Amino acid sequence: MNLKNIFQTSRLTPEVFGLVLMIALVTSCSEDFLDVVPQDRIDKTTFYSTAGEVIIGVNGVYASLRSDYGNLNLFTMREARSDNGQLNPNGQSEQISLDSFNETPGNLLVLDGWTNMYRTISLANAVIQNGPNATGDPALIARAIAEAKFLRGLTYFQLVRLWGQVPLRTSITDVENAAVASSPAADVYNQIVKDVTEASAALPDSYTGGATKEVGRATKFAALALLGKVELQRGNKTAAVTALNQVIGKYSLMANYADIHKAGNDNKAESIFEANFNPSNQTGMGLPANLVYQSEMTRLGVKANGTTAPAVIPTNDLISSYEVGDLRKNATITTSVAENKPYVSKYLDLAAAAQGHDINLVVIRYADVLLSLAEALGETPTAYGYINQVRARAGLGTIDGTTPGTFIDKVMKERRVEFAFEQSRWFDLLRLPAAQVTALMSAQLTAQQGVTVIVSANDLLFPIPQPEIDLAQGLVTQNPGY
Amino acid sequence: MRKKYQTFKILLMSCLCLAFALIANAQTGKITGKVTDAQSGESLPGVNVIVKGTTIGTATDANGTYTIEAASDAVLVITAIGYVTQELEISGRSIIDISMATDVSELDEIVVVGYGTQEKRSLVGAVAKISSERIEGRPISSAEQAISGLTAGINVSQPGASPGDLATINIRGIGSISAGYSPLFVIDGYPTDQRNFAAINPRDIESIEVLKDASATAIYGSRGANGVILVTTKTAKEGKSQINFGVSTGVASIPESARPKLLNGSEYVQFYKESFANRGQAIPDYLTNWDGTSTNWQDVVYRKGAFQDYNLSASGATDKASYLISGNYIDQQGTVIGESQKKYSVRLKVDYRPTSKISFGMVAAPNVTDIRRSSPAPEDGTDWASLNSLAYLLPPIVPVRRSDGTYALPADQSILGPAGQLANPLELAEQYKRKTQLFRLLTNSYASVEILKGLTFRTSIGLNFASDKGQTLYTPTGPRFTLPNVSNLNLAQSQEIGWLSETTLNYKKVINEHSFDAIVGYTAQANREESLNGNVSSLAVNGPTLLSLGDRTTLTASNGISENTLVSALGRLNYSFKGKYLLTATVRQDGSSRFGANNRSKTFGSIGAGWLLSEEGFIKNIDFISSAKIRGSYGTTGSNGIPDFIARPSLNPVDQAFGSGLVKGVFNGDPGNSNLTWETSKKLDIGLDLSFMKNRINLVFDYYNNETTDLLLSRSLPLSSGFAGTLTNIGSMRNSGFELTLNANVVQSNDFSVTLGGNVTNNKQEVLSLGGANELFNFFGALRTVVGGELQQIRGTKAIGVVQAGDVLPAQPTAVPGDIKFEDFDGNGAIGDFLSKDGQLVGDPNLDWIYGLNASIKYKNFELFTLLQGQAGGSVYDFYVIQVGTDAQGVNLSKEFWYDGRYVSPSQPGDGKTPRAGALLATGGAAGVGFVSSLGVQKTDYLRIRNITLSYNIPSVFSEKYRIRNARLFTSVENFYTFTKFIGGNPDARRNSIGGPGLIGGSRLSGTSDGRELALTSVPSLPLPRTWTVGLTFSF
Repeated sequence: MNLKNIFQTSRLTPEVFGLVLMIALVTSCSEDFLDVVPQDRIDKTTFYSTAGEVIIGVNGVYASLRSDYGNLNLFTMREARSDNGQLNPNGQSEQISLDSFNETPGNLLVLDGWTNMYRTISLANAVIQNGPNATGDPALIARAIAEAKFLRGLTYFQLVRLWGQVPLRTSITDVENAAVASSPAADVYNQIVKDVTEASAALPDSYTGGATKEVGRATKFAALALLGKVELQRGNKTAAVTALNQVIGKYSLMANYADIHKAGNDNKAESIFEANFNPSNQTGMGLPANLVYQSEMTRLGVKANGTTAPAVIPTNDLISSYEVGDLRKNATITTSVAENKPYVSKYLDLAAAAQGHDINLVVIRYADVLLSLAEALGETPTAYGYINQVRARAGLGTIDGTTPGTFIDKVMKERRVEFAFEQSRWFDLLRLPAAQVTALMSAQLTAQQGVTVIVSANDLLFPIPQPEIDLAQGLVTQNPGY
Repeated sequence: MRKKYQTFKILLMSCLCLAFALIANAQTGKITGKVTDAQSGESLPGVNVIVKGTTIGTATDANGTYTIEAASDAVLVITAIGYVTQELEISGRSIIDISMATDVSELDEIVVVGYGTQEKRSLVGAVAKISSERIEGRPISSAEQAISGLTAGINVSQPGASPGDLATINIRGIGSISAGYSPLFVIDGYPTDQRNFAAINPRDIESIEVLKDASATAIYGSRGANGVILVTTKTAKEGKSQINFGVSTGVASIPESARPKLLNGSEYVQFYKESFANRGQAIPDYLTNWDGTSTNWQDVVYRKGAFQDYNLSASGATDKASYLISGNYIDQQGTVIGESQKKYSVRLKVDYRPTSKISFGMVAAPNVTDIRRSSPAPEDGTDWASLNSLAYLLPPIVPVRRSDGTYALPADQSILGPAGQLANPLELAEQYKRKTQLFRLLTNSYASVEILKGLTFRTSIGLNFASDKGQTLYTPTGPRFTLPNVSNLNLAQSQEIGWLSETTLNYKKVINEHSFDAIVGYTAQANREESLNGNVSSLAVNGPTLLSLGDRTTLTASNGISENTLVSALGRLNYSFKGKYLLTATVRQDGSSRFGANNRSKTFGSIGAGWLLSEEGFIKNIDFISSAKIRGSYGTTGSNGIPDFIARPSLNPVDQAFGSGLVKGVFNGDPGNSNLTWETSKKLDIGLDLSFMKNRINLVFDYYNNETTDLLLSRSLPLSSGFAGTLTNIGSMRNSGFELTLNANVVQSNDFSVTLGGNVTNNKQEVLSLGGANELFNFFGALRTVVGGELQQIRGTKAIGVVQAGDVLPAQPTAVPGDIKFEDFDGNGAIGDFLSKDGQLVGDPNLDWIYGLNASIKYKNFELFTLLQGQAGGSVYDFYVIQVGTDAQGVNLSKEFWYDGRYVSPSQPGDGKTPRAGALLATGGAAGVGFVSSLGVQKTDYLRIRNITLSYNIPSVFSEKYRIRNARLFTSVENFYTFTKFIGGNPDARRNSIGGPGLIGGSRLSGTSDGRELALTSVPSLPLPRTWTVGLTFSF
């Protein structure tokens, strides 16, 4: 019997077949069919519900911080802006403008820095807000929240020094109502002090857990050191002394200055808090690709990329500020053999490949606590003692009240060479009177560029990125002078 | 029976021949002959044969034969309904066989519509048909390249000019701000995407229908908003078993006229000396010690690429079954060294009809495409490292090879800027191997049963399988700009499996003067795509593509999964009264997994009406008008062209290093929106179809107004929120305009005919609302979408000329002659950058006009076909001329843009538009402002001679001898010439977004871009190739 006969002999079959099929299809497709659950991402609506997830959440904040510190644009804003670094004159004009104080609100590099830091804030807010509702080990959850507060405080400390008044976001963004007004710098500082104080009360002294993975998280002393720096920055010297004194003796200086940033020397005795990099899975540190001559990479046998024109190079002003015999000079600056030009060699992992350098960027180290405490104490023998600890390690003799120069100048000079290219100089300058900073920067830039450059007090803050102002429905105002 | 008839015909012919011989010299005599249909060869009864100028006439009998008395110099007029009237001189003949060509009135044409076919007569929607005639034989590897310019309302642009690059297609303008704007592609009934359209062998296509208005597209409901392109592949013709073979071969090249004009060695040295001097910098040694080298890098990178195309198909059909098998092989070399595409495709189509009421069938079309490249993909950021970029950017003072024969590099001369780190293209082509293999299989099978008279049940199941495999191996010998410094292997695979189930019930009924054609149906469709990617560096051995040969510590792997479902119910009623009043109503309800749980389903619908004026007495009597129809439609369609899962808030994993190990963290993904729903397009169309002078002139006019509401809009958020934007249903926009298509048979006779066709579309775009926001940002704010304006207008400072000696410019106090003069738009006495209040709208990318012109001239067996196509009214922010190809980078430059006409000195002030060398970096008081200014805005207008084909149909006398049914010899040239003022490459090219192709989300915080830079050019772009071919097709 052929197919034709089947249909001819049972005339109803096709209709019945068709109707059955149709009914089957219609009924089988309900809402379930349309409810496709994603398998390639984490569902945010249910995340942060356990202690383990809160820890993963706070790990993300650290990861974001890593790109805040390893970001060339922010590096430029924190270091090349100052009298330590100079931009490649043949580089991108937007980059150069960050050094020569003529950047505009539209500068995309400033926007990039802003965006990066606020990502950190947003991720920290999610942990701080969701954490208390999570189930699981309460101690672990409390620690994660304290870590997030430390990281939020640290990031706002960056923001407030770069931009002054900024939107103060302390809760999860409501996307329907996303604009937040700028808060005065004083309010931002108050929030930072609150966050960091709370963090210092809840964080452990150190991480002794079996997993090596724990090392590098924020500690109680990291929070106290940060609190001291914050108080010093906003002029509360007494509070700074109180905070910093609690850190004294808990850490020690590395014997050899050059070892601080040596590849593999992560979180050693001097380190209080670092931005952690590791070449696995593209989490290596990439700054040298923009700081080191390719010819030097080749000469030293480094597989990682260098550049024919480093984005930021040391200024002559910095090079000449090292005292004779200062061991820190050669650990920071090297002259390239082929080009015969100085470059920043502080961060160079000779084993680095395409994934970047196995070097952590130090955020706070013990030398900073010593020098910050000295600065907060003012001209006292104790203060000179702290300074001389740092100088001794650099192979230099002691200084005291009889050494020429004002006390603050001596502290600043010491900080300048101790922390050169550790993204500290610009912020240190901001603690000086505005007129002194503008005079100093005008002189340095005039010498560097060969034409008269005048830096104004308005230049001490960066412009708020124009898109932020445009999208904030009038709630965010531009800094004066832009 | 057929055979018996053939014998009879031969016998009859022989008799007639004899008769002819006997009466050849007669003055007046009996003329006999047979009238047949030109296409089918069937005899035609009832055809009128009249002696011109007399009343003598007769009609053919049942066998199609006629006999008539006429003078030997008289003229016979042969007329039949539905056929083209012929006039034939007797010229002493007594046997005249006549074959009648069908008079295909526009109205009788069968048009494919969604879920069915319709006579054009009864159509009320705006549907344009492109027949295969204009696609076949052209030197193209994909049909998407062929449809440009052939019909109104559709814009095809080719951003990439390498073999295998996809075109960008949109219908009646871009109607969405953030969602996809690509039309829906329906291939033999299977709704799919452009990738499957691009994969089809162009020779397999029977027709392409473009559905433009609501009446035509609402049946595809949710996905109809951007228009629908229906592709119907060839089916075997009944009664004929035939084999077709086609071959064509040719060569592609980038003609001199299409290449960007760049500086030669001495011009480069001259320009850069000026640039360094003007910037107050020392002139580097490589300029002062120039050795006279002047390399034309375009000659090094561009080549002639061979093109070959082989096609073989066999088909046959009886009243019970039909089959078609087709195979195609295209081998296409690119015009850039190392680029090629090989495409292998097979198509099988079978139908079986066991009874007159039941039919089954299936189509399966597997195909494989192998694409090769020798530099990074555009999405990998090839501003600096593609072979084409090197052709543009490498300084001409760099030789190809060093004196020892090795490849020279700009680093040899320590050239300043990124130019000094560029690669040598010949070396890169040897070291960079990128292969992509695409496999596509689209199948659809159906069963159809006529349950009752007029009531047909049809069900179909389709499967779409697609696999993409990519492999990139780079084995460098040193650092090259933006390329990895160590060897790298990347393997990427993705696989998509989709299925479709459709069930429809169709009822056709004629009751007196009322005619009904109704369809209801139910469809479900699902798609799942998975990808896997592995990457490793520092391979121990160069050559093998094994991840395990790489340095283990650099090994990374990642994967992705995407899935969506769609379920729909649909219905349509076509009703006509007296065959002249027409009505079509359509409804479709769709549910899509892509939207928020609260808003997944939506109903779309349309209503259309038509009036066949020419069936009315008052028009019917006007001879001049052959047919006339007024039609109009209004309805809604939707778009779900957004990524899967975007409605759900998500987090993405990220690695964090602690101590000596890595831990997992999370970054923000999509912010999510549980209320997210369909974008709706309200479409109004009013059309007029007119034919004049016995259908010799056909005109189609359409006015349309498409208003899209509930736009799926990536609303930018303040970046301090932690998100770049959120996808929301806010805002509305409008595309309105008209389309005019005119086709005319200017000359029409047996031996000679001229057909001219043209179409023009004018589109006006307007953003009506942005949900409270005044403007949207793209690309860091350089592109802005403003209420009342068009999509992604370019914002920049306005360059208003060049500073001349003696000019006083308060806003640019430090400007020197030769600097760029900017408009102080806000009048604040200073020039700010594009984001400041000095920034203004300086261009928009949206095309106002697209047009096409075609002409076909036939003389005896020859045909000359020409297709022209063009666009006007759009512009781009040209990243190449203003960002990459500038003296800030040390690269070679556009001669037209920067060199010719530049300001040199007060005595050589140039053309007043081109600044001095170095001005972009040194423009007084406004350094860097020029980078995003009107200086970098270029118009994308062009007129292209898209195709010229000369073909020759080999006479039947010759072909019959070899049992060849039909043979054609042709030569064709694609992209013959482009008239444009656009500098550098391809005006259609667009730059890829910074930050990847994703739509929105917090994961891409480095920019406020949404991934669709409509108004940014590629950097730099490859000009379209000119391809010449000769070919031969025959069937037997």
